[in-house]
Amino acid sequence: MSQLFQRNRPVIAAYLLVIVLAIIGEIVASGFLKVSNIDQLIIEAAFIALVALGQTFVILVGGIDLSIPWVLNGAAVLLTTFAHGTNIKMAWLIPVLLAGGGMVGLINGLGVTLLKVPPIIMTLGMSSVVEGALLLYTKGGSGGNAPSGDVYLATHRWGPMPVVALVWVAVLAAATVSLSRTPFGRRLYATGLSKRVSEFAGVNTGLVTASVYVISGVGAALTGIVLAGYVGQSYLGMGDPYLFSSVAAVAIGGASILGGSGNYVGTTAGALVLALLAAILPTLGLPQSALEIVYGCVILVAISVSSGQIGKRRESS
Amino acid sequence: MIGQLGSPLRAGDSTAGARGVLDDLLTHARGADIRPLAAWMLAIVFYLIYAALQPGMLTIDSLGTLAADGLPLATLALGQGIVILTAGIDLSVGGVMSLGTAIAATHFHGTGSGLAWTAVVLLIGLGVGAFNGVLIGALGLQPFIVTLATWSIFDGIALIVLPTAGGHVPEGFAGWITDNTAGFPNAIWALVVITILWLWFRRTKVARRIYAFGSDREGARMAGVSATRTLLAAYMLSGFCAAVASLFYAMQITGGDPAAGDGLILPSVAAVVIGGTSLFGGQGGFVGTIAGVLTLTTLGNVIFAVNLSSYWTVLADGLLLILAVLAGGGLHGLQQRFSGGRRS
Repeated sequence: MSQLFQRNRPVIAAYLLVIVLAIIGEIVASGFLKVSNIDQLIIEAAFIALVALGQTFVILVGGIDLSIPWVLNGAAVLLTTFAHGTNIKMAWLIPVLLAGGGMVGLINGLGVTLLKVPPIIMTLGMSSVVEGALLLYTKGGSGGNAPSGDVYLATHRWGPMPVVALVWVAVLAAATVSLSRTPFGRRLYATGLSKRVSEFAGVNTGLVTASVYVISGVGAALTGIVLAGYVGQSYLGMGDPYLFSSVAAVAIGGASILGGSGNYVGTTAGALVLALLAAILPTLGLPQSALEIVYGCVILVAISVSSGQIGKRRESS
Repeated sequence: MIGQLGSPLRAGDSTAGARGVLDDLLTHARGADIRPLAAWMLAIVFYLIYAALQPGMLTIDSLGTLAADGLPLATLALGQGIVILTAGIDLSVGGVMSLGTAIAATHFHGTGSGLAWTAVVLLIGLGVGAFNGVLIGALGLQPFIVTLATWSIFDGIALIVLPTAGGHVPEGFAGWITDNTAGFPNAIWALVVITILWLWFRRTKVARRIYAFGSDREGARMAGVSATRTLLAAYMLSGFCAAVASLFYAMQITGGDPAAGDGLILPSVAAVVIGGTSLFGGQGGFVGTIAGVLTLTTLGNVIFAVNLSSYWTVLADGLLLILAVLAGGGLHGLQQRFSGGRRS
């Protein structure tokens, strides 16, 4: 039990931070913890958590995915422009867009594994390619309104719970099981800890690495589809905040940026922390732009703390 | 004749002549990296295509316009290149660029305030660089995550200084980049000065440490090169270059944009990589990077000249970055294989 506690200390710290921030929120603005407000917080956090799913997996193998914002944006814009406000095409559009996101991820993954392009360069380049293609397609205009079916999916409630939050819980369960209870999860951590040793042990690290980028691409496309429904429309630049927030959520969740340690339970706490911060800032009279400053500071603090702990662990062993 | 310059050839080799030429070229190429040369060839090809599409491009004035277009990127890529020589990357140049143009567009009016705020912008650049350098050098944190965070922070500050694109810089300030001095466009003078500064810097102790650190971290440490101080210097130079680049960029767009830097991070890395600098550190330099800047700038102009949407530039820049990484690795591999084969 104490070993479990020891190993998950960063994750536990992240959840304590969630509680502390919630209390601070209630102190600076009474009514902060109203049901309607919490509902809103959970929806905001769900979007960050959904997009950070892929980023978690990618960071666990020691990579990074900078193409997330434009894959998300691409899925949102293509859904609204192709659907033209009707629901008829949704049935095939959604799978096609998810596959499209997966394709971008696959190209990233192949570039990183087969062609040995550093992840940051590969995903930065692909981000620009997707952005350019999208700008050419839309001619710089907005994507139009989301079909009502998508709006329904994104804002519907199942009992008291928003569907988006339920999707998040399902994703959390699936990610946690696949990371901690399956051979894929074990290979993923092994690849992140040491590629060479994993290969000696018979792990196909190329396959593992390529698949996490595919997961990230599909996750970004899914988030784009749901986000378009939630906002009711799509526009260029709607994915931009999700680069910093996805990395920040993973970093707060205690994952090592070097790969090999961390989990999605931590990222979930990270998403909650970011949503709480986003809600608290306006009550302190700070502008929305302060959020970007907060994201940056939070990333720096989180990685400094986690690298300090890794250092200590190495010293003690 | 050529064969004599190269290595002695085995008797009875039927392709001796051809092999001799190849051998000889490789003998000369073995010491020097061939990637910057390839970059210059690519840049000249692009420029000739552009000149063919737009007659009258081979004049001093049009070269001046091209230099003015490329000057912000060249300055930015000089700093990015120094960081990449340490096998790092600096994403925070995006934030510094955004904040620099935002300050130029809002605070440069009034007597004396232009100079004072220029100093502030330059100090911000140095400060961001020092901050990155300490975290990366002294604490050993990953360059991309540290500079991603500082990019976010300074984009946020830029948004507070200037919430939306707009504002305008004083006319005298904006006009400098297109003016002439002693018959030559100022932008060309600036590029010449930057290049001379680089050639001087290349011979300094700091530069030698940066190259040594980038090519063999452990070996450099044994030879007494301090990782902390080397990285601090590299990131401070990059921050300073980004600050200067933001001022050139503000002249070019005659205003400010709180997101100006976001779109220039990729071109800054691409210019360095196209220019033949290795992402793994220790190899390359600004002479190749200028060819990368020239390639990217003329590519944008070619796209404009053939009436394609400027959005093609965004797509093409991304593709070029990836292709350049692959081509650079490929060229280097070929060179190693041939020169390695010769030695045995």
